[in-house]
Amino acid sequence: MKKFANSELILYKSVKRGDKKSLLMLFSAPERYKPIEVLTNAEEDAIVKVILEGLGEIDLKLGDDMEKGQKKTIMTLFWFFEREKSFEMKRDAEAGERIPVKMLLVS
Amino acid sequence: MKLGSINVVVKDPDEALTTFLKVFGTNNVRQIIKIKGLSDTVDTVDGYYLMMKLTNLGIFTPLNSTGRMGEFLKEHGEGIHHIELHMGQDEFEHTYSKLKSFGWPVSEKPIFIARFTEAIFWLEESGPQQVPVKFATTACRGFGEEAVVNLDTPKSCEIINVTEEYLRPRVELNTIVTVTSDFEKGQQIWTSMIGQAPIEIGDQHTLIRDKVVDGRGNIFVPVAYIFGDGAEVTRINYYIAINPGAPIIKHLTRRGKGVSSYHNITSFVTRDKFHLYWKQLEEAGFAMVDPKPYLMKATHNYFFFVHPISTHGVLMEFVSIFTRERGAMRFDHSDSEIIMVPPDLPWNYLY
Repeated sequence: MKKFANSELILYKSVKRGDKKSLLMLFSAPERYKPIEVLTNAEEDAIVKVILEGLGEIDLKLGDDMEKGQKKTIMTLFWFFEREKSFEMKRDAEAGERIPVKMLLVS
Repeated sequence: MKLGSINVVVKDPDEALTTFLKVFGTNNVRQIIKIKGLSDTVDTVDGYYLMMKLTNLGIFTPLNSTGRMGEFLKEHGEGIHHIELHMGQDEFEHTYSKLKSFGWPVSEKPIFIARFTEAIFWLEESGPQQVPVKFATTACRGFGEEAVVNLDTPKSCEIINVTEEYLRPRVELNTIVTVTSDFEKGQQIWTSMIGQAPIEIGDQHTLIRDKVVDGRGNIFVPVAYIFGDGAEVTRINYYIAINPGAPIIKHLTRRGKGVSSYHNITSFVTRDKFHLYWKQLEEAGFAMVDPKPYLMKATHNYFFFVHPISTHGVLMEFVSIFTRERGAMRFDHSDSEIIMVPPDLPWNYLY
């Protein structure tokens, strides 16, 4: 899987292992609008594996064609219906914790 | 009556002026009036008034923290504060008398803003509509010395030129969206206030009540108070969200107001330049809410939002431009350049 993007986002609310949370629930508006550089071209509807290191991961569809070098955000990578999809938290984490985010192009 | 202006409260009006010029484009703003020390006996404000084709934008910062705008800024931060309804003097005087007779909290007397030869009165947020509304007229005759509060205000006002140029397609501000959790009662209140009934816009083409799915988590039922016709329409849209957890409901909860609040402002954009405009705003650093303009299948219109985080607390919506004929939506191709089939047939050729 090609590297699609990397970032680091600050957790908005504390979570418990086993909680189901979405990107919208995990990160505040300023974090969701933090610029993320696109590392490779990709087409609309391509699947991107979003990995919150140690915390959880989810496959989401891209909302538009992306070009290498573009600056995007969580909001402009994915439509609302993707951003609101929940996935399971694998550990407890505290609000304010910096979470490394890795995105890989699946297809 | 028309939706004359939408007015936002900000901390730094100079910074906000630049922001909103970047959004609307200097080519879509006919005139910028810089105002200092505008008083109405409760608030004194500095700011700017952006004159645009249909609805103007007021950008104000309060000079005192105890007036209605100062209190708003303290409690909610920057954002949409009030709308101003413009009307002729007869309608203004009639509306003032009517609202006063209802016992609603209007200004004790209309206020005459001498430097503009204009009169205004407020319907306070504590009224049944639950949002501040200002009524205004350009006076064509006197009111009588005792009938109004005469104010020598503002301290100064001047038309200013800006050197920066931000070129955009046609962008026309024309709508305020108000959201509520008491839809039927709210409509009765607004109908009494402005003296006209709303139209159903759930289905924009047939004007029949319907729910709207907006692609960003809201399912809502809308009506609209329409002022004017054709290409000169301004609107107060009035929505109730009907799905639990909708962003509109969260907005009402955040505002600490269970019932009604201004939610966003809406502008129309040239149909074939819509995606270009989206890109211009993204490149200018605005917080775009989605990956690209959303195609609303029910109306065949594109629309998108800019998050208030980048626009001084104002959620901004943009829609492909359309006009209204007898209330119903008609697409406006008047300044589209990229067209495969020329729109030569008149819209009513079937009638």
